[in-house]
Amino acid sequence: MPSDLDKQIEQLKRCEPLSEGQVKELCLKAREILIEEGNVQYVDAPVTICGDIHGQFFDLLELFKMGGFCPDTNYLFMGDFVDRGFYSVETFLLLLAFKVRYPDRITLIRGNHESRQITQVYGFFDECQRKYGTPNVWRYCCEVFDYLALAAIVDGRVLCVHGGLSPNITSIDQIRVIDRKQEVPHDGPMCDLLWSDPDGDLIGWGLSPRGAGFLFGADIVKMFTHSNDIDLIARAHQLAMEGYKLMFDRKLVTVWSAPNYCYRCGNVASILELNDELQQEYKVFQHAPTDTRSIPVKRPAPEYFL
Amino acid sequence: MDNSGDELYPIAILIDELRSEDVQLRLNAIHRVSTIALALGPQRARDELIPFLQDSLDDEDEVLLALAEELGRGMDEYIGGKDWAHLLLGPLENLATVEETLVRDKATESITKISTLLSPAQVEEFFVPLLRRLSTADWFTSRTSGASLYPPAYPQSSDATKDELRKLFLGLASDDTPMVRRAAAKWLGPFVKTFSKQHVISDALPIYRKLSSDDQDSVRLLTVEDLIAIAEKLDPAEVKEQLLSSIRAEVGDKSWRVRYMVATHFVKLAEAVGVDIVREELVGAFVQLLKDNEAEVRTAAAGQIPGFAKLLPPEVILARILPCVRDLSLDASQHVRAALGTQISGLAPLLGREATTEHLLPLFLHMLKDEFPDVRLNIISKLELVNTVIGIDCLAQSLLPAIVELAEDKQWRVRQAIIEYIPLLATQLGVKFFDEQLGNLCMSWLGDNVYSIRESATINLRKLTEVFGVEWARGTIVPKVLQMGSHPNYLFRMTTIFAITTIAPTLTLEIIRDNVLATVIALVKDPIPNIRFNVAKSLEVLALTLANKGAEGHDVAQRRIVPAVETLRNDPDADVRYFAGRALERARAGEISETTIFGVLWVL
Amino acid sequence: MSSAEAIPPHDLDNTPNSSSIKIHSWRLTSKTLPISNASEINAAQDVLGGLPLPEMTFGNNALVLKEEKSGWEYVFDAVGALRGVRLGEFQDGDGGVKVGYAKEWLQSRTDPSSQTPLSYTVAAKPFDWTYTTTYSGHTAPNSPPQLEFRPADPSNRNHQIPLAQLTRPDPILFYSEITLFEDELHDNGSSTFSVRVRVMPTCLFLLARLLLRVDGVLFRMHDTRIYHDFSTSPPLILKETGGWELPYNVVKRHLPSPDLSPLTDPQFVAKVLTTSSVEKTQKEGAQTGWRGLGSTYEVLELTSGHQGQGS
Repeated sequence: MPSDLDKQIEQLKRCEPLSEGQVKELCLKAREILIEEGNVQYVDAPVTICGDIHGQFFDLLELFKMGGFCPDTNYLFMGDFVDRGFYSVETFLLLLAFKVRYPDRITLIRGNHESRQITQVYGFFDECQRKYGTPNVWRYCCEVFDYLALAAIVDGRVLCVHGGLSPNITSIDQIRVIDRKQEVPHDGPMCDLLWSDPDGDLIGWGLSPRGAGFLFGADIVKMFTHSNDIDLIARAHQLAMEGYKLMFDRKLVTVWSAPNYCYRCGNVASILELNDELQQEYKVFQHAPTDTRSIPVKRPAPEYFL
Repeated sequence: MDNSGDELYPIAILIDELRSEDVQLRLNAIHRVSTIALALGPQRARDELIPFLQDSLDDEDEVLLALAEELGRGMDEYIGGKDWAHLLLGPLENLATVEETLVRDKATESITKISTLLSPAQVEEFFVPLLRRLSTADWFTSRTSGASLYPPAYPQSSDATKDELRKLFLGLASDDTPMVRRAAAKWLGPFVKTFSKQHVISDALPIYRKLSSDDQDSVRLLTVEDLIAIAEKLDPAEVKEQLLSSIRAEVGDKSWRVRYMVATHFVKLAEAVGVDIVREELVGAFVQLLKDNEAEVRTAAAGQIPGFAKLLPPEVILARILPCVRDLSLDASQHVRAALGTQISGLAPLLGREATTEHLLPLFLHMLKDEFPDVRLNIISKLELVNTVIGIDCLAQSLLPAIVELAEDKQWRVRQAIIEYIPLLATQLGVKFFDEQLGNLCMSWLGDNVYSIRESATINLRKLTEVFGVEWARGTIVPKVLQMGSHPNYLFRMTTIFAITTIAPTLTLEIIRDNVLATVIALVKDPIPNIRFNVAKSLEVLALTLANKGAEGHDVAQRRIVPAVETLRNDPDADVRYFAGRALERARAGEISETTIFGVLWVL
Repeated sequence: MSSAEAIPPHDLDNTPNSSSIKIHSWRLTSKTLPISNASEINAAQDVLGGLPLPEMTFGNNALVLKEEKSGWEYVFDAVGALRGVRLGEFQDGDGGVKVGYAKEWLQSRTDPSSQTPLSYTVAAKPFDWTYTTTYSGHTAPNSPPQLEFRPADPSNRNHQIPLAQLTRPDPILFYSEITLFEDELHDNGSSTFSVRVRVMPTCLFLLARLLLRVDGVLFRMHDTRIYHDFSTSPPLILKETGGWELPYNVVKRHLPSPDLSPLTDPQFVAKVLTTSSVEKTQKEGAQTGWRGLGSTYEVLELTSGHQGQGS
């Protein structure tokens, strides 16, 4: 029923959460749509590509004010919708409502935060529990996470993925055969796509000092783009103070869409507009205006720490 | 009501739930406490429930907070009415002593509510002793809570008790613990309001003086509102005699936080002390605050400029305030300049046309070029005030260059503020001047790279059409909008469609038929689906507009719009099909009801 | 009756980005600013030998204690804290750890059937990605060099920080709390270094804390407490440092409910670490061999400049 859904979208745009029952229904419909999508969702240009949002709802509205609202503008979000910000519930549900209402106009792919384990630590679980008094909404959303696509390809020329490449994957077709409908695993190609990072100083594949996770160098990206006949890899996952960061002879870009990350980093954010001829335009935006001046001193209250 | 056989049931359940491991269950139980009281009946609620609540105080702050709130929420009704309301004071007194501030504040708030139900006898017998106990308790939390309860207790007390309460409050103001002295400073103001004038001078003043010379600036800063409350109680001569040195001391306090509080409350203070002191004393004090070393203080003082200036004759504003305003417009702190930006236009009505033109206008122009966007934005959004004083001609001539510059500001919110100001400017400038000076600007916003600006730009076109008339639109904006419909960049084509949808209801049959329709219908074949479904939306509005234009309008809609929409109904894209279907449906409905166009436009 | 007389004269100076107090012969200054920008990050990285900096490095924040008669000046800042972070391969005592799923991750890569044997990967620049540091502040360059901390005398009661006395709700004349760095370890936990200080009528007290959580692996904490009683003459400064560790699952067992969010609450974690048995937390730790475990007690007497040279 578009009209109910339209009402819910209006409600969510005002940052008012849906009822638990509405969330359940929305998530069920979302799964029906997402299950039909491939691991690598095919997307037509023009489309606007966005990076991490992390529950910064009012900054997401800034993003739409800059880029236009769905469905007039087509969007591709590269994951990490939830955690850390104060409004993960409203953020994810608004994007999901758009997805259900206009499946062809918006593409959502999975970030490493779209996971049961990570959301229990970084705030989304807690927020659902606080706002609804039960973990049900969290559970419904996690079930949707398992169905999100792992990557998207725009007009066959721009590969979009949350983290980066995997040494197991040399051709895009290898992504298509992953069984994605599961919690993000700790290893293997699906994990790499959501977790790995580019490294400007590196040749080949690097092992992260953390003991897990890959880093990849310029040659890897060059080989991959060449053998898959693509122009660009767009990914998110890492904070870029200037909103985006082009690397490797402009073959890879990090797009970051959470301005003033965690409400204190002071960074700008960006979106990447690809027009119908795949020309790139990066649009930089700032965090939503806030009325911080109403508080004369923001110093913490004295505490008898020991 | 549910008063069946299982009499013990409610209280047993409550006790059970209050002992549950699960905080949520305990919270739920507390929120149902009035229901339980109702089930028990007044007698048993008094005999069993209240004592139980009084004793079961060892819980999470969240639960205690809920209890403090529930007890103040009409609980008296369930325990037998006003005559028994004092029984609620027992558990609330306990809650007013706990460590968590939120709980204490809620408890005293509830006590204050209940106190309005008490008879003088209940006040003397129950409330005043409670106040005595809290005020002299060992732990500072109780004494802090106590301070907040004097304002409700005092007016209802006997004279003898009143004497005692004033002394007890003096004790709190002299307490060892700064937290208690802060509470005394916070509540002295409301307390003083209940005093007779005699006691203001004999008792409130000494308490105020004690607190306002406290070592801790966190205490002193709370006395600014006390000062105002006392001043409001006194006549100007008494203020002069009793408070002048205090006012000076507060304005010159060595802590910027105190000065900040004075600056924030300056207009209120000025209104309380009367006109003579304002002229003789406060003008100087205000100037001092506007020149304060701390940016926070200057920001706060800047916020009070028009409010305070209202109390002064124009020559004093010019001689004393304006030089400071000039300094502030060059202030090193962007926040000070931004605060000034919102306030400065408030001086225009006070100064009148000539002085505004001579003194304020140069400052506006200067601030419109400020490097900090908030300053520019604040100035623009308040220009209307100036407009009414000096007239649009004068304003336009001097401001136009600055406006043209801001129209291309890097911050899109600044550009948006300018756009919103354009229709007003247009009304006053007239067509000729507008076309020459601002016409191109208005069209250039349609190609802005920020969506919100493009949207505002289309709305602006509709408003301009309303101002200058439809023939003007046909000659100036419509051709330019239509021209963009064949732009190679799809965003421009999209804007064309948005703009047509927005201005359509203001257009005539001829313009739609002869100019607009061809362009819109050509875009039915656009390769971008987003454009095609916006064409469907646009055709919907055009059809509804034409339905208002009699038989010929109806004919045009049938011959040209309906076939186009039918084409879109068979589009390969689902969203295009959806919006085309909706357009057909609404266009048909529109033939019946002719007044829905603006309604539909709203939904779009 | 009134304790107002007991409050010594002092001057406070606050601006939006800094605050300071002058009391007796002391001046404490605290600076709080936004995180470092790109050029500041580059500069700091140069000083630190190329260490990849934490995601949020508050390079402009600092807390400075200065005793004006002796000239002793002691600083806490981000570069100081990050100097203690291992750059290069882990050595014994560094307590180096890997993320919780490193083992299974590695296994999947070394499995004979793996399509991506590790053989063709290289190790990226090695450094302690947990930003573990035992930094306990440093003396400013212009502070007299002979004024250094020395081991405390365990039998001297005056060499112990009187924690009981510090629980008394004496008025706090000055309070400040700053963060030096913070990193979420690429969603594998969090590492935060913060400093708090409070000045009461009779003493000053500072706590600097590194708190580390590696999800599924461990919790680690390193505290530095500095205490000075204004009535000591010559002025006596006490410094206690301590390191604690517990395996992640041991701390998790202390959770009151299945909700994991207390694990991100520093208060909760610190309480579990400091109230469990010392044998577990300060000797065994999480079996990493980290040298920061255990506690040390030091003192410093601030004799004035020329006297100090003689000793």
